[in-house]
Amino acid sequence: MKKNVMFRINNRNLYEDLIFVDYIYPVLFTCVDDFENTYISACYFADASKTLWLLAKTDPKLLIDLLNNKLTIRELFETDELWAICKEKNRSMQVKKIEDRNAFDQKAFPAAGEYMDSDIGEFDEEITVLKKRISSRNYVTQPQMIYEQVIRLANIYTGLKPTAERNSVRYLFSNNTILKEYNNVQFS
Amino acid sequence: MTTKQIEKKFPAYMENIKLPDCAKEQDFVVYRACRTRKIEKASFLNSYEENGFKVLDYPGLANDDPQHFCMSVYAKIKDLKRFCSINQTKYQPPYLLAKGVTVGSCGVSCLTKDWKKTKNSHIDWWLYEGAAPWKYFEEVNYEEECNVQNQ
Repeated sequence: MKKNVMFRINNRNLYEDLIFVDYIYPVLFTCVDDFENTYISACYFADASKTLWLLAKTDPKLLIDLLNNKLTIRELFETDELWAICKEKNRSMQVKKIEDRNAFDQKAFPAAGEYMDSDIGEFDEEITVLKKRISSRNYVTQPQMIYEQVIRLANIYTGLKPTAERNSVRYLFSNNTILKEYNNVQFS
Repeated sequence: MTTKQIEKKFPAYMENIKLPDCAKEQDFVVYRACRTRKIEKASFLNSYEENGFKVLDYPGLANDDPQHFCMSVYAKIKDLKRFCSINQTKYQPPYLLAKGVTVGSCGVSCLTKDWKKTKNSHIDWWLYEGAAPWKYFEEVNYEEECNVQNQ
């Protein structure tokens, strides 16, 4: 079953995934894209005129650490792959990459030093889902090898190197869209 | 107006809002963060009034969703603290944590997870017109309450 599209980043749909903190709307939640990349989002402001989110690309292992009280909520947003998202009333969603998080509104980030303070077993269901996601990512070593061979041959014949993200291509392989992605690999 | 004098009537702006069947006059022990750092009316408004008598503009939340008109409280203090730590724009430390009861004379309430797909301890409390819920709350300490809830 396809989930709802929550955001769209770099021409990729991000679908609603796991909710860790809820209010009358999801406050802290994860999203996944078609390539099983995982993101964490915090809705840090909502009123009658607009809603604001922070979005960070993350890793299921880090999310498990968050739910096991080993990382603070804020630490998940201390990354270079960070976006600010704004949805104003009657306007389309605006997405902006945060280039310098220290220059961004600090109140947008979760309070420093705050852990989830999870009880034992409270997030077992979510942790199980995240662990499965880690396992499934490890199964794609063979497509990765094929990808590397293709790139090596392309390099031999053209002398150019690919600039596409290796991870992205790897997951496209697992979705049987190898030719499409291969055609899109850019060479510099 | 005293509690006994309150008419059990919702505000006029809720006239066409259908509440979930599980919403009843029932007493839950709950927590709420006070934005004004005082236990007073301004910290105990429902979402609609808190937003200047307007509904929130959150994608996917319909304008007639009853949650626009409820006052949010949590049965677990940890759920409240998590929410506040992410909403620093509204809840700047040191905000005040209050503990109280969703007394039926102030309105009807229910666990959100009883009518929506959610799993935390959020409780929707629809207040009657003229209700004074803050009278049933007192300030608490986070660590002490965690200990109480863990027992």
